[in-house]
Amino acid sequence: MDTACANLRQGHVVALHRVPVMSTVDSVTWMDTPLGVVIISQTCDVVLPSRRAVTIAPVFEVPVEKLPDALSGKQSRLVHLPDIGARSFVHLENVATIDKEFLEGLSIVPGFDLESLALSIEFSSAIARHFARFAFPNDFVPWISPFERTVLKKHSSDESFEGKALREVIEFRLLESGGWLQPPYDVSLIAIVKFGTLPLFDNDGIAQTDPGLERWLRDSTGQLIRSGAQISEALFSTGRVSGRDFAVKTSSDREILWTALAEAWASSCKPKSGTVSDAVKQAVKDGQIVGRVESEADFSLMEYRRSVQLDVDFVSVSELDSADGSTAPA
Amino acid sequence: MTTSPTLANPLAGFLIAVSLLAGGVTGAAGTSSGVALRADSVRERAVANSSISRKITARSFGGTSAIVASTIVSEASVPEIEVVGPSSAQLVLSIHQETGLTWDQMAKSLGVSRRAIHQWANGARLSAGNLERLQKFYKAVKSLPYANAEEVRVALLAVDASGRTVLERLSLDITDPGPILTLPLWTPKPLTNNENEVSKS
Repeated sequence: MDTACANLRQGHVVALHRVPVMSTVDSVTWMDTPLGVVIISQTCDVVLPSRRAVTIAPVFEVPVEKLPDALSGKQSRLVHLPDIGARSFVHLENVATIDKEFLEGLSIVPGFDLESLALSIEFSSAIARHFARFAFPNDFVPWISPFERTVLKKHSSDESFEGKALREVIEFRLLESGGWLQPPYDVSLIAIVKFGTLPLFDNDGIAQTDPGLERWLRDSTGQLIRSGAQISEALFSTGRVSGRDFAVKTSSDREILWTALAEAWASSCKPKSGTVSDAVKQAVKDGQIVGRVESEADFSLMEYRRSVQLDVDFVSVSELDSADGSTAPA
Repeated sequence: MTTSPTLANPLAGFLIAVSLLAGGVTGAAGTSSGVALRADSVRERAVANSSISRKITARSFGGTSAIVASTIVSEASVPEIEVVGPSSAQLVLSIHQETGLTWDQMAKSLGVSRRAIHQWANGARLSAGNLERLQKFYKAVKSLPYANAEEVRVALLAVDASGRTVLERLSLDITDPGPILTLPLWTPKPLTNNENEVSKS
């Protein structure tokens, strides 16, 4: 048994053509897996003789019409296996635990380039993502869904200034003061951006507000009057945006624009009007999510541990891919 | 609040702050031990533009342990600690100016990044939870019996017998950021008591 598993790694596809599924008490049925199964267990657990069992999940061939969605990562239960086939995915809905003895003597092939550290991390992260996604309260979900759609739509758009801004974001995190125990939720949407995106502070640290820029951003009551698209354009263009010239931007301007952009993104987190229940309408404290921008170099671990990641992370291409010269699986 | 106590006992000042943070219930009338200060009433009124006005009436009771408190506040005079209504931005700036703490120390005391503090100082909206913590911090600072920022700073950074600074204690008291939601990288307890037994069975 141990020798059989000594060469196995997470991500290997094993020619095991049926897996057990417990259907009722004391009743196990067998699910056919004609394309084999993928090792889901972490590699250390697979190779350690003291670990008796491994977790596996079937290989699944996605229909052509569903392929774009599957490749985009929208369905977390599907993780791509590019070395098996363009339409081959591991299907995480039917994970089974089997004794290692079942694997003895079966042929194995890698589901992706297992020598690539980047791809191995990407694969294990995709598995982790499926099982570790935070389940937001039902009455809160309609608040965040429109923003998730915006991110998905604009992130990969090369022409869009907002897409460019979104590509500076490593991840969005949601921080709720009381730990999501009961509504109304006191929520902050925190955009954590790449190191170098935000300016460094001088000793005093306070951005010097340009009254002209403030007037461009806000009305007389302090309400933001610019959209995320307009603020992104102001950040990245060198021309006029909605009547103001952004040819030259100071560090303070960048800081203020990024802060305003985070506020605009948070402001767009609203449920669609008309069809929502009172519970949904009252789910967020003061009817508004607070926006904040942080650099990856600054964000406190304390807040990190108390916040949850918004599950739009999969739209980001892993930077590790380019680091080792390999390519993403999709 | 005109009498400045000795800096030799900054913890007493801190205890006053904590008693105020706790809503004025740490000391009981007639108690001769413990913190001899009680906030009798806290009246809040919200004013326009997110400003907040607080008026805290503090009264001392004849305890013997709170030497500093007894020098600050006498039973005969019931001083009012006026925490005048700053906006959240003014609140941040006031704490910075009135404590002499660096931005970094302020940020760490509240468990946030320095950038978050700067954004709030620039007028960015903050969550209700963070606003509440800032207000607690401000109330505590305002209740400290020192005349200027340098004295406050020295008092906050003074180390007590346990080796903690007053600021650290204050920080722990006001910073209750909610439950941890991210799993630790390492879980110390194994899934079963004897995994090898399971393997052998």
